Amino acid sequence: MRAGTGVVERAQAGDPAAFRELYDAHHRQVARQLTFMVPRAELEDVLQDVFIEVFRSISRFQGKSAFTTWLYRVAIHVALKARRTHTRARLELVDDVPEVVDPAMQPVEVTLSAERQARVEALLQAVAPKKRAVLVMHDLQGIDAHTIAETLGTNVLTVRTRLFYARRELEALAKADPALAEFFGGVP
Amino acid sequence: MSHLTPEALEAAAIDPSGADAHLAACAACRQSVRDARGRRALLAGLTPYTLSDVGFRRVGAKLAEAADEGLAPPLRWPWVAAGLALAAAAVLVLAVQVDVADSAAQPPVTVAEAAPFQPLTVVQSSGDAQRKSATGWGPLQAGDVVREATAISAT
Repeated sequence: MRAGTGVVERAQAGDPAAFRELYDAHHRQVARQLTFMVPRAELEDVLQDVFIEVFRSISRFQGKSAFTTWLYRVAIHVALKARRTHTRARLELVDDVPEVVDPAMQPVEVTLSAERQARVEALLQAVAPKKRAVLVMHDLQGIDAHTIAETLGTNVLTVRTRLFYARRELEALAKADPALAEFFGGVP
Repeated sequence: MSHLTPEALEAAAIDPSGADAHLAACAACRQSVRDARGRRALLAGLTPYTLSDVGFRRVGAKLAEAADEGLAPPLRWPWVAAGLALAAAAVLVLAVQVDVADSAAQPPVTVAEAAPFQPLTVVQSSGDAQRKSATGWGPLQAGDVVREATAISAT
């Protein structure tokens, strides 16, 4: 669903209906962008925070980039700042069919079991936020380093450095996990 | 020996044929390629998660309410902290005022009156003890009565 033309301008003018239209048009995409960026138990809260921030700062959107690009930037920055302990356990989940996000990756041969999925998600959250953001955006969402640099307000070299260390960190964590060691040639 | 670049390692994790010669000679890079392959398999096996329709509607309802109310600042940690700081400041001001009031209400300190001097009767006197009288210094003897302002001297 796409928002109607002029909805951003109306939102900038403070039209509550326009805010609802923006949410209706973009909430699923933003939720996908937040996947693996934040723990699944915090996805609802962070999604709300993203759109609150969008509504509060939409006057700063000048139209130099596509609105979706600006929205994505807001989402990532809100996700990076998210610091909370989840107190709710009422998140209802829907398993999506994995999208092919990185053309360079091999086709999925094995979908992780629920236990392994949970362990990998926990390992991702153990990686420092800025490194995790680059790892998720590049390796899971298939975004190139230049776009990541623009989104995060940094340079390509920093992105590549963070990606390098994020990958090494994830590998070290996973190799130390008995449930995941077989992926690295260890004894399960 | 130089090692494969990060980009070359990733490429080798997908298809090692382009780095066969180096990998045959470099155990460290072979391990790095194995690790990269394992990491890629783990990430590729992940199933993305998202909210249910109920969850999305819940967020939408909260946002609609906020938008209708003119997007009052959310009660998040910065605002809670500001409120707590304000409350703490108010408590501090109140505590100082109470302390000042308490100080003003304290009763004045009174000085105890000196006990009146009681005459002393000398029980025993050393050989060099003396007392001063109107006529000058003289020996202080047992039985003498020492009254107020009487000077005595003894070692």
